[in-house]
Amino acid sequence: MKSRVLCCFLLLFSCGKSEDEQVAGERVISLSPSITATLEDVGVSDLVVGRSSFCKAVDSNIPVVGDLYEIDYERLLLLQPTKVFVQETASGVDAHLKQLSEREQFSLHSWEVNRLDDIKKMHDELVDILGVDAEPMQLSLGEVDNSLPAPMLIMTSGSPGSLGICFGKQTYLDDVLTLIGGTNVLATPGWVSLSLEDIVELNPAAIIMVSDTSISISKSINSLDIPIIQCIHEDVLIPSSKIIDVAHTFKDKLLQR
Amino acid sequence: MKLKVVLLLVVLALFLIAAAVFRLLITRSVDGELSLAFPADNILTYRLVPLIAALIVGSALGVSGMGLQVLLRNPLASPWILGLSSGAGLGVMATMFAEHTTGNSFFGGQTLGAIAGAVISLLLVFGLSRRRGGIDPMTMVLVGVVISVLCGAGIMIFQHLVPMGLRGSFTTWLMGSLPEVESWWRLGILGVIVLCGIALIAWWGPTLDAACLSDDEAKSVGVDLPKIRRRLFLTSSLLAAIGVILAGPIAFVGLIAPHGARLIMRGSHRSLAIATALVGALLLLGADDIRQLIDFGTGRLPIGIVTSVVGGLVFLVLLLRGRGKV
Amino acid sequence: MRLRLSDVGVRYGVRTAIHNINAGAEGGKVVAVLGPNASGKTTLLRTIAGLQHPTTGMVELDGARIDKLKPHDLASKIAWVPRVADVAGSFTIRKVVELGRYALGPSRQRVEDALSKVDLLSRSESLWHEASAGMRQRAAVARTLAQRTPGGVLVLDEPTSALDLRHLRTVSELLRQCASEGDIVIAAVHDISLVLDIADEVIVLKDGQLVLAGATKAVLTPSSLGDVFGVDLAWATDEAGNRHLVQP
Repeated sequence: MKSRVLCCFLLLFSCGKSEDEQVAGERVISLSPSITATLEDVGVSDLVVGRSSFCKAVDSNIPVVGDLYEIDYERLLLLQPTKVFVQETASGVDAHLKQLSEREQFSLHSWEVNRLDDIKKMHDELVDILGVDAEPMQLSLGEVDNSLPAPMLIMTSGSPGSLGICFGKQTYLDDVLTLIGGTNVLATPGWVSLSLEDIVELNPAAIIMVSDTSISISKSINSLDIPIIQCIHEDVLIPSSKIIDVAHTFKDKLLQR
Repeated sequence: MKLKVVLLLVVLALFLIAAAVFRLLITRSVDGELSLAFPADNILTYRLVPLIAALIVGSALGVSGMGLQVLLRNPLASPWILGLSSGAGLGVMATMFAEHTTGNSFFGGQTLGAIAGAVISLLLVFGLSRRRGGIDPMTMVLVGVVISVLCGAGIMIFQHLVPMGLRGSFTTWLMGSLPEVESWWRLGILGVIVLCGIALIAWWGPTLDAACLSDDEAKSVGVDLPKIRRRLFLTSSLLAAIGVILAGPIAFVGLIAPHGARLIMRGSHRSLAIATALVGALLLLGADDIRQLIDFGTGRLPIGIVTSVVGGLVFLVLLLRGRGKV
Repeated sequence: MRLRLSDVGVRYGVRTAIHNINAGAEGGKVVAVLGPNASGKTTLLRTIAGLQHPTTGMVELDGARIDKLKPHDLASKIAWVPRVADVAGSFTIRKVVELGRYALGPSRQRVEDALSKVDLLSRSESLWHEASAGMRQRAAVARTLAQRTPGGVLVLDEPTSALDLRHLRTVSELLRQCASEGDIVIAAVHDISLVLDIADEVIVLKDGQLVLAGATKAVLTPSSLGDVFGVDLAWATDEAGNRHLVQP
C-alpha cells in the first residue's frame, strides 16, 4: 500500500511540472518575424533557438534556419526543436516540414497574420501552446474617436522615385484604422500599388504614412495637398501582438494632428 | 583519346570527388563552429540530395553551354540566351498565379509549369530562327534575346497580379537553389537523361569540331550542318531545362564551364564535353561547399550569388593565365 | 572526271548573282575564273563546290547532280578553299587541317604530308587565332590537300591572295601537281600573270554572265580582257621570254 502511494506521489510529482519547467523545456524555432515578435512580446523569446533572417526581435546570434520560402532542414534538425512556428503563405505550409514534424516528433504550428483577428488568434494560441501566463490579446482601444478625418489612406513611405505600398481592406492596418474609428479610402482588399492619379481620384481626407525607421516624403506626394500624418513605429510593418502599441501610436498621431 | 587528356580528366574527376566528400562532411554546429563529420542518418539526405543535384545540374548546364557556344558560334552563348530561363520562370509564375486564383493545386505544379514554359519558349526560338530550312545562329541569338525580354515582361505582369506573399516565393525561385528535398526516382531519371545528353554531345564531338569552321568550310568537309544544329539545339535545350527544373535559373555555370574546360585542356569536343561536364559539376558543387562555410548570420547565401562571384573570379584567373586563348 | 554546268543561275531574293552559265571542265586541267569585282566569281565557285544550290540549271559531276549529293559524298569528291578561312574556337593549325579528314576518316600521314607541302609542319602547333593571314590561307590549302581524293575536284577562291612570293609559287605548283594527278582544279584568281602561268583554261565572268571561256592563251588577249575590266592592256615580254599582260 505504502509503495503504491509512493509511486502515485512520484508519478504526480513527475507529471505535475511547474509552469516554469514546462516552458523552460521548450526549444522553439520561429520562421516568421511576426511570430518571433509575438514570442518576445509575451516574454518567451529565450525559448527561441532558431529564427528566420528577418526576425529582429531576438538575439542576432540565434542561428538562422531559413525563412518562409526556403528552410535549412539540416540546421533545423540540429537544433532539436520541440516546436516550430511558421507563418502560412499563399502557397500554404511547406510539405516537407509537415512530414518532418511527424517523423522527428516536434509540433508544427502555422498561422496567417493578415488581419488583426489572425494576430489575436496567433497570440492566444501561442500563449496556450507554450503555457505562458498571459491574458488573451485585447482588440480594443477604448472609445472610438468619430472626429477623425475620413476617409484615410494608409501607405508605406516608399523610396525615392516610387510611391509606397497602400494597405487595402482585409489587412491588419486597415483593421487598426477601423479599431480607432477611422475609414479606409481603399475598397480593394490586400496590398495595392497606386499612382498619384489614383490617389487624387480617391481623394482621401488624410494619408497615414507608416515606416519602421524614418520617413522622407517625396515631392510628388507633397504636391497632392493632402494632409500627411507620419507614424513611425518599429513594429508597424510586422503584424505581431505588438500591433496594439502601433494602434495606440496611430490614435495619438491622429489626435495630435 | 590521348594520355594527357585522359590524365587531365582523371584529375578533374578527383577534384570533383574531393568536393563531394567535403560537401558530405562539412558540418556547422548550432554555435556556428565548423568541423568535418559524417552526418547523422536523419541529416544525411539533406546533404546527399543537394550533392547529387549539383552534379546533375552543374554538368547539364556546362555541357548545354558548350553545345550552344558551338551552335551559335558565340563564346558568350549560354543556356539563358535562348530565353529558356525566362520561359521556365514565366511557366512557374503562371502556375503559381493559376493555383492561387483557382485555389487548386495542379498535378506536377511548378515543375510542369517550368517545363511547359521552357519548351514553349524554345519552340518559339527554334521556329523563328529557321532560314532556308536550317537554323541561322545569328538570328537565333537575336530571337532568343527577344523571347527572353517578352517572357520577362510576362513574369513582371504576373508578379504584379499575385499577392505579395507569392512574390517572395517567386523571388526566391529566381535566385536559384539546389534542392534539399527531392525524390530519388526523380533525381535518378533526370540524372540518367543528363548522362545520355552528355554522352550524345561527346559522341558528336568530331562533328562539333568540324562545325567550328565557317559554314561553307564545314559543309565542304562533309558536315550536315542543319542536322547537327538541330541535334545540338534540342540536346542543349533539354540539358538546360533539366537544370532549371531541379534548381531554378542558376547563373553563370553554363557560360563559364566550357571556357574553364577549354583553358584547362585543348582537344576535340569529345573530350571537351566530358571535361566541361566535370568542370560544371565542380563549379556548382564548389559553390555549394563555399556556401556552407559562409554565414553572415542571415542563413545560407543563395547559390546563384556564389556561382556568379566564385565563377567570375575563377574565370578571370584562368583567362589571365591563358591570356585570351578562349 | 567531267564537270558540267548547264544553264546555271543563282538568285538571292530579287538580285541575280549569276545566270545562263554553261561550261565544262575535265580532269587534269586547271581552270581559272576571272572577272571584275562582284561579277559572280564566288557564287559560281560555291555553286560548283555544292555549297550553294543553283536556282536554275544544274551542276553535274560525271553525270550526277552535285546538289543531290549527301554531305559525306560531296566531301569525298569536292574540296573547297574559301577566300578567308574562319574557325571559331581555339584550334591549332594541325587540328584545322585534320578537319579535312572529317568525312573520310583520320589519316596522320595525309595530314603530315599536307602540312609539309605548304611549309607549315614546323608551325602546326600554332594556334589558329595567332596565325597570320598567309598561314591561315596555307592551312586552308593544306586541309584541302588532306581531304582531296586524286581525280576529284578542287575549288579555290583566291587561294593566293594573302601569300608571299615564295608561298605563292609553292601553292601554284601544288595546284598544277594536283591537276597532273587527274584533279579538276578550279580557282578564282585576280593575278593575270599567275593565270597565264598555271591555268589551262579560263572562264571570264562579267555582271553574272559568262563572257569568255576557253584555252587560256586563246582567250586572254589585251582586247578581250580590256573590254571585261574596262582598262587598257598590252603584252610585255620579260627577260626569260615570258609574256605578261600589263597596263601600259
